[in-house]
Amino acid sequence: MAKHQQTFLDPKAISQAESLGLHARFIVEGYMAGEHKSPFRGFAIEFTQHREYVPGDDIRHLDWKVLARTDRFYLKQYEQETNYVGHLLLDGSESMKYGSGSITKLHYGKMVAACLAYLILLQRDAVALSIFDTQVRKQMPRTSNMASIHNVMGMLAAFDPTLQTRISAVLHDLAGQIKRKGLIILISDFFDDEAAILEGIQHLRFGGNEVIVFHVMDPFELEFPFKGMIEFEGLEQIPKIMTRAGEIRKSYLREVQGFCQRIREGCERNNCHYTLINTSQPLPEVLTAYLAFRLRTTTR
Amino acid sequence: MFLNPLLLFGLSAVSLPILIHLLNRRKYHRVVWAAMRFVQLAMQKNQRRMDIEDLILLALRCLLLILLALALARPVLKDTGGWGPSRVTAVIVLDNSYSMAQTDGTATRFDLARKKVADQIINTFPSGSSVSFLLASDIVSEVIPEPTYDLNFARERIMAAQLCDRGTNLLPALQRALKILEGRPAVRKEIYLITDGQASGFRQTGDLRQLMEDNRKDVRTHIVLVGDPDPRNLAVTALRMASALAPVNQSLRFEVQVTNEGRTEARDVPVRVAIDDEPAAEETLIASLAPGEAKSVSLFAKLRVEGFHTVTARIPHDQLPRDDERSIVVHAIKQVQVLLVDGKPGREARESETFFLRPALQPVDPAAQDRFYIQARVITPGELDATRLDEFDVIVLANLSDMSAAAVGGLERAVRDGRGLIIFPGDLVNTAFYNEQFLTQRGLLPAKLGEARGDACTLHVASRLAEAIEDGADLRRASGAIRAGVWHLVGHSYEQLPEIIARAEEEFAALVDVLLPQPLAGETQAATPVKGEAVPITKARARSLLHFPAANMAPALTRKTG
Repeated sequence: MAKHQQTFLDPKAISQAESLGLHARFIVEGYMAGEHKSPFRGFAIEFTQHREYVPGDDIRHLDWKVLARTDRFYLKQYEQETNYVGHLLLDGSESMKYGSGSITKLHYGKMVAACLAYLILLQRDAVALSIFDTQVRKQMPRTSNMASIHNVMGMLAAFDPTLQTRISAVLHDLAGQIKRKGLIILISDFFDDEAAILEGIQHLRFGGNEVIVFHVMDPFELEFPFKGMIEFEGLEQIPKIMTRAGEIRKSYLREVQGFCQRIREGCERNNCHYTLINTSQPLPEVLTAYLAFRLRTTTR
Repeated sequence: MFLNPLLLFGLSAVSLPILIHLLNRRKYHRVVWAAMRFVQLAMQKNQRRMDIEDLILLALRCLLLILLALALARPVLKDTGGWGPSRVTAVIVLDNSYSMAQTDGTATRFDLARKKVADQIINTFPSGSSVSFLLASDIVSEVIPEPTYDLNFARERIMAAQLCDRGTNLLPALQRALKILEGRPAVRKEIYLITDGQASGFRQTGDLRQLMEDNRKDVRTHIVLVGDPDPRNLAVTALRMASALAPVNQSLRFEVQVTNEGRTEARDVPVRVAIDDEPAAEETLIASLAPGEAKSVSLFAKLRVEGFHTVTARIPHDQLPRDDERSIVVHAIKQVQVLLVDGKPGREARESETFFLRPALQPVDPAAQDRFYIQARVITPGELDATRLDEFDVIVLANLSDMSAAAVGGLERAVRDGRGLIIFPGDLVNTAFYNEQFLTQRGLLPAKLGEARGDACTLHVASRLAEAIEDGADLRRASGAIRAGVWHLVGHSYEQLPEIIARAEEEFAALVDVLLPQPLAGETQAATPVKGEAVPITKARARSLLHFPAANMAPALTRKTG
């Protein structure tokens, strides 16, 4: 059974399937089947707190049982505080359309977003989805209804990118919009101004949000395996470049590694989890690795 | 300079890498790419380096093709110009004539020449040179006819070269060497002529010079002289036995000619004659010998045993030892048996045809006649049939008119067996019989006998000879007549014999040289008194045989009468 699931969970096989949602469910449930505890435990489901009533508080939230027992006014707060919102921010710029194999970065990002949305809904937390390029293009308000996973999938499937990225502006906007502290999951290739991106992340962190960064890169972008005369046709604004790829490979790799390193360091400075995803890696492996990592760090 | 200048057209191939370079720029893959800014950054940092590398690569490729085209065109340096010598195709002509055997006491000129060639000349050739090797005497021997690139092999062959005993003539060798070099593509073609510079080798100096002059443009000729020219060289240039017969235990006279081939006068040259390997029998001194002069001396020696002996004349060895001695082979005999058939015994002994001949053959005391080396027996014509001819070495028919068929047959067999037959025609002789039996049928006569003319006793040989020459119609007959005349003179007025012989010999020699270049078969067989006489010249043999009676008898007769 396990073997059957394993082969079924291959991201390449997923990419050929019509519905993202179905496969996202398989991926996560396959994972969950082995793990009886949710990796999102600690999303404050069990937390309970009483606060003394102060004038102006809504008396609907008074804990009548406590009042009867102790004759004091306390408010029950757990309902409001225990539901975290998982904000999924997916980069939908044109550069995400690149894919050396059968899967583009965007497709991979969609799968990551779908899986995480499913996982979050599964533990009855709320999830909100935003797809952006220079601004937020598609947005789904937060929901904790499991049935709305279909809306998530539908929105993801329907999105087709057209423009370049301006992540920093979007992050600043979102930081202003998010009222409640939550978990912000940012999925992007970050092909934009690094300093501005990091500023945006910092802005999100200021709001008390936990930010998780999934940096999606194509294996070709990471390894640059080209040889001979190549004309590179830019997906975003930069025009065509013709060069002998083999000869600039070292230099290119240095640039890319430097870029990834800077993003990672910026995230770490802001206490964000940073995960570099190579789209040639199977999605279950990536998720498992990340969730295991998260379990380790949050239970410590 | 190029050996294959046509291949320089290959230089046009230089355009190929440029074309390929340009075409390659048009051949590329198109990739839709997201991470453009990194590519752009990487390219900005590398573009300059790549451009320079491109140019260098293009230049190297062009240079490679240029070099290839140049290499195929085979460039050569005519002048070394300080860049090292260019390859040589050389022909080494080594003089191996006998004069190269001359030694300076330690090594012969030939040894010096070989060493010089192997150690000095070949070692100066740059690698890639080829060498051909000829040995030149009066013939050309091609040791390495095709130039070889294996210089060690050439060295070996040169060191293994052998001297010969021939003379020198360098012209054919030079012609051959030029032929070998003809059409070779090499730039440096050279001929090395290693010789001791004997005058005989350059007797066609004009031709040699012309040949070198004609080929001066293509072929450089070096003449390498070896050995110091030595002013002294003596040679034994002739040795002959002056005595007609070589009987054992008789003193035989040998004439030795010594020639001074050097440039200085030689004094007190001892000349020795030795029989076989025995020590020298006799020695004589030549007091003085001017340059170029030849002198003959007579030396006497005795042969002790019957059979063949080597007689060697020697002078002391000089730097060219092989010409300091000369040998001949002499057949020593014990006795010669002569049968005299007297055709006209006469009433008195004095009238007999053999009255003078017999003592002429045995000019010694009657008591010593039995021990003399010529034994003569006189028989009458009637006894001829019954006589065993194989017991005699020479048979003399003196004025014999004719004889039986058996006797003619016996004489023919005797001649075929190598015995001598001497016919003295006289007044009784049946000319027709002799011409028929001895000339026509058996070919024993040297010439046809003619009619007797005049009186043999009073006619002078010279007049007979003049008559014979005038009567040029039948010269063979003339020679026979002269011989007959000589004999008659011997019989009747022997006092005049020496001068007659001298004159007759001179005139005969001229006659023989002109008219009888080859000896007649019958004459040779019929008149050979001594077998094995070592006179190597055919003409001389014929001449001496024709004069046999006079030449042989004269010393004995004069000694007897004097």
